[in-house]
Amino acid sequence: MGNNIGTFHILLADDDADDRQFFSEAISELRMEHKLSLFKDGKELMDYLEHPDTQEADVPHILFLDLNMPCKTGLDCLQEIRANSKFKDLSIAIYSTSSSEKDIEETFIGGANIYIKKPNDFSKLKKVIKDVVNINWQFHTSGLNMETFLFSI
Amino acid sequence: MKSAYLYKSSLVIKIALGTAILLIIYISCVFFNQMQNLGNSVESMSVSNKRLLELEKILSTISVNESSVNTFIITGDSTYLQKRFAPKESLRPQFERLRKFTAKSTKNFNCDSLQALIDARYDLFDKVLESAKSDHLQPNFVLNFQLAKSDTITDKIRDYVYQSLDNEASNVNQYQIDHRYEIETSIITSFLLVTVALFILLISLRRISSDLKDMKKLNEELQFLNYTFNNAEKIAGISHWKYNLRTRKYSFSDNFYNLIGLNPETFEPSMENVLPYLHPDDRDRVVEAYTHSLTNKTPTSLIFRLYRKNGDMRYIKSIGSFAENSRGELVKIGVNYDITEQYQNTISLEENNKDLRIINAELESFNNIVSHDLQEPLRKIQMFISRIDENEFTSLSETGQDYFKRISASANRMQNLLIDLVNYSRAMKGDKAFVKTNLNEIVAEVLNELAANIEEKNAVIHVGNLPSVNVIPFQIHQLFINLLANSIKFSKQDTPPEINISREKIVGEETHDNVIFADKQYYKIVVSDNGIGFRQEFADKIFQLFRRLEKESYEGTGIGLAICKKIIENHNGFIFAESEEGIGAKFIIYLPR
Repeated sequence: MGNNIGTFHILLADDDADDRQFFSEAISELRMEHKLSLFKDGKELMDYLEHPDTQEADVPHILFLDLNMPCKTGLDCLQEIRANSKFKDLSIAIYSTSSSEKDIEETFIGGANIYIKKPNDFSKLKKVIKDVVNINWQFHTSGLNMETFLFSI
Repeated sequence: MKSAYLYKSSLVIKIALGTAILLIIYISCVFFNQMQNLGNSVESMSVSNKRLLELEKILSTISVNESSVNTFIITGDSTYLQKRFAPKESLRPQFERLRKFTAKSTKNFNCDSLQALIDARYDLFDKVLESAKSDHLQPNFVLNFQLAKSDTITDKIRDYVYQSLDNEASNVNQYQIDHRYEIETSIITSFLLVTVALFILLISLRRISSDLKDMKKLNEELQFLNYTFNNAEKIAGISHWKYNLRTRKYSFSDNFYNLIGLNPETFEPSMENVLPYLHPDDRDRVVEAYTHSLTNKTPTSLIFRLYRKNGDMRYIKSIGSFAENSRGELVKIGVNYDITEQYQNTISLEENNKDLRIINAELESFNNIVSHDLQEPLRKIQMFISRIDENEFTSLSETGQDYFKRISASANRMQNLLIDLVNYSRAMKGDKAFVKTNLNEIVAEVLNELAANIEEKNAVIHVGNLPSVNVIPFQIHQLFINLLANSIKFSKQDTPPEINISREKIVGEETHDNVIFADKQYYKIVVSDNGIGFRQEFADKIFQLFRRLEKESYEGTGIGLAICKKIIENHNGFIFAESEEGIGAKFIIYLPR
């Protein structure tokens, strides 16, 4: 899964409009050649992912997933996605305000790849996105452990 | 102890009395025997006398006859004979009496030989009289011969009687000598024995009277004890009951009735009579429990409700177990006590606890709201601030830029407050698992986390050899973060902070706030710095929530040290602060081993 295979497709599911705006602004300021799709809750995200038109080749590369969302929570989405082998190559980054151990533990067990605590500084946000996109996921997933799971900015 | 002594002494008295009685019986027997002997000898003496009398009579009759015969021979006047001669038959009663007396004492006396002599004498009387009457002219020599023979026989009779007299006299004399000695010795021995018996009796009596005094004293003590016991039962709201399994009889203490609101002994003590006072829902349960207990000899512990006479409902706890009494009978002994107040207190306490739990849960959710839900908008404010700061800051007026900087500072301060609040509420819960952890490892993590801070202030930190302790790791981590951040923050403006973290051995015993610490029980860990310090009088206040000593020149939330105290309390440890203003602060931690 390299940058050379078509455009890098990034998804963000977050019910907070401001956060979605910060995110897309950061992506555009980074001048990255990436496709970004935004979803305002878990249901919308799952509807998109499970749409029959979505081919395996179209499966996005990375999903930034907020936890606290109406209808379907981030944890629900995580479990549904990980239950579907079609999305086995999809990297999931939890993107939440919460830093509670309970949330970190549950998402780690649920199969998320990384846990990002939402930063309170725009420049930090840009750095996080840049770093996460550039991570060699193959390498990262092979050494799964709780310490590296929580992404430190 | 005392009763055992009395029991022993009563045994001694019994033995003494028994001995005295045996002695008296023995003396009586000896006396009886002696009296009998005395009676015998008196009787035999009177028999002797009577026999002598009879012998004298016989002898005198013979003499009278002889003289009348002689007179007749000399005078030839037969009237003498007719008047004074006693025929042989007249002696028969004397002989019969003599034989009777002689039968009792056969010693040295033969009635038959006397009879033979008397018969021979009467034959001679007859022959003398015959020859004197028939022929006065007969030659005198026949008569003389017969008279001489008569004299001989009379002498024989006299000799015989005198002989008997002498014998009897010596017999009586012998009796008297014998019995005088016996009587004398028996008087002495019986006097001695009576004295000894009396002495024993007197001693026993004395002992009995002193024992009686002791008994009386014991009895009084027992009565007082009983009185105290009854009163104590009344005051404590306790009563007791007994059930004898052999006699199948109950007995209740006075307060048993008082607990039901009745006068003592209002009804016969029995299960049936108590049942009507029990709450109807409890009766079957109580009866079943007691029946089961009596069958299986198992102790009981029950709580039931009973109605007093005035209708008040009381909660009674009843505990019973088995014991043997002094007669070896199995007895169930129980105690009933009124637990109504405790029961009601427990219920109200439980209700209070429930309320408290609800309040706690509400507080916790409030805490969550404060910490998480407030962080969300704050984070966005900070995000927008950073956006303006990056792109629009220069287009603001100078005043606008100043205001904007203050907004930014306030937002940061609020963020710090919220983070500390989250940490404090986490420390409050304190329901995390204890793990044996090397404190050096935790401190290393903390130093890593505070690296930027340390670098900024050029802080020097010395870490000694710390022990491995059973702790909640993330809380101890938080503790060191707060303590070190605190020391770095309150450093002197011109001096780089120098911080020491070390374990100190407790020498002997150390006392802080009336708590004694010994090396066997506690680890002592000291964090000291060369910062601005504080006045010792504030040593307790710095651990209070939102308490800040330095408001102006130092930033802070006033939660950090309160969290430290909470964490140490969660570990059943103690934290104290010592300081001298301008010299430095020292935090002393005692963690249980």
